[in-house]
Amino acid sequence: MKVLLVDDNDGFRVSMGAVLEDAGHSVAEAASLGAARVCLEHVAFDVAVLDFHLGDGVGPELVPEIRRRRPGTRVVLMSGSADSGGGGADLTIAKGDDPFTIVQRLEELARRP
Amino acid sequence: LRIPSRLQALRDRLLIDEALSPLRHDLRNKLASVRNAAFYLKRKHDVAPPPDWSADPRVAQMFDVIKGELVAAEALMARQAPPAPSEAASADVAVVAAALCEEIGRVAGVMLVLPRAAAPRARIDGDELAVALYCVVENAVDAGARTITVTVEGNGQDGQIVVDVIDDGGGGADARAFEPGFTTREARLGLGLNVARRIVQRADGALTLTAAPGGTRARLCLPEATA
Repeated sequence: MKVLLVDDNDGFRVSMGAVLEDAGHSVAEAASLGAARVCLEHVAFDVAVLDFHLGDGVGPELVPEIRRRRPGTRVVLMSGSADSGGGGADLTIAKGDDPFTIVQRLEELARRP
Repeated sequence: LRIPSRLQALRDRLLIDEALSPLRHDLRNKLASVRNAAFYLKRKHDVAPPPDWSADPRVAQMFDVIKGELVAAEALMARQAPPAPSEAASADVAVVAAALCEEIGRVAGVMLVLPRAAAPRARIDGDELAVALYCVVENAVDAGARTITVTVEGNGQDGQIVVDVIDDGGGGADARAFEPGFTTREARLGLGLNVARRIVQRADGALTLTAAPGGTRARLCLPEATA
């Protein structure tokens, strides 16, 4: 599974990226919406995981762009807040979830027809 | 302007929660990073532990300590978080607005315009709605408003109930209005509009500010309560 992981929190992005790679997946990391857009231009990801609050905007801003430019990419919104809402994503997960569970849910989403 | 005493404790609790919210959010991020890092190291340890680690029983113990403390920290934060709004909560918006305007109107110069027909109930706690309205009115008073008009529309956009608070305070729609800590007055926390917005958002509604002639229009869109 090719995953785009978008989060401006370095610690979370690096640690979650390591967990996903350890589970056998290919991960591209982006620390901003701008960096995510560059990644999306070059790669057709299976799953894009977006943090809610980012330095140059909010994750849900990117959802319609991904739908338009990469309709095959599943979109996941992830946040540390419990009140951030779904934002039109295919899946919403909390950062506090168990990492193993997060990986499982992303894999299930990528397999969904 | 003074908040009615019946709402003060709730408003203060919501202000404290609003002030703590960024800290809670950042802490959750940090805890999640630690959890991921520990998970990664534990997997490496389980698959092929370095010789030093396998000889030391405290290494496994340390993973348990990290896991246990993370669970305890999450539980602590969950205990401090405000309870989720009740699905069954509903309020007669016109009655709530009328009661608040009666209590503070003389001081704040508030005029209330209610719908001719009874408006449907909104899916929100009545006291929380009153606090949200108070915070919006207080913001208008702080902006120097002399006249504030509160209108309740029963059949607003998309079947929602719309409450407009229109003032002549000259504030317009300042992009910084929702920045936590932003205030034009001394001795203010600059969190009132954030409290109001959070209350409304927790009820699946929206609070927006737009410029109105000579001042600001704060619009609260609230979902109708289901029968």
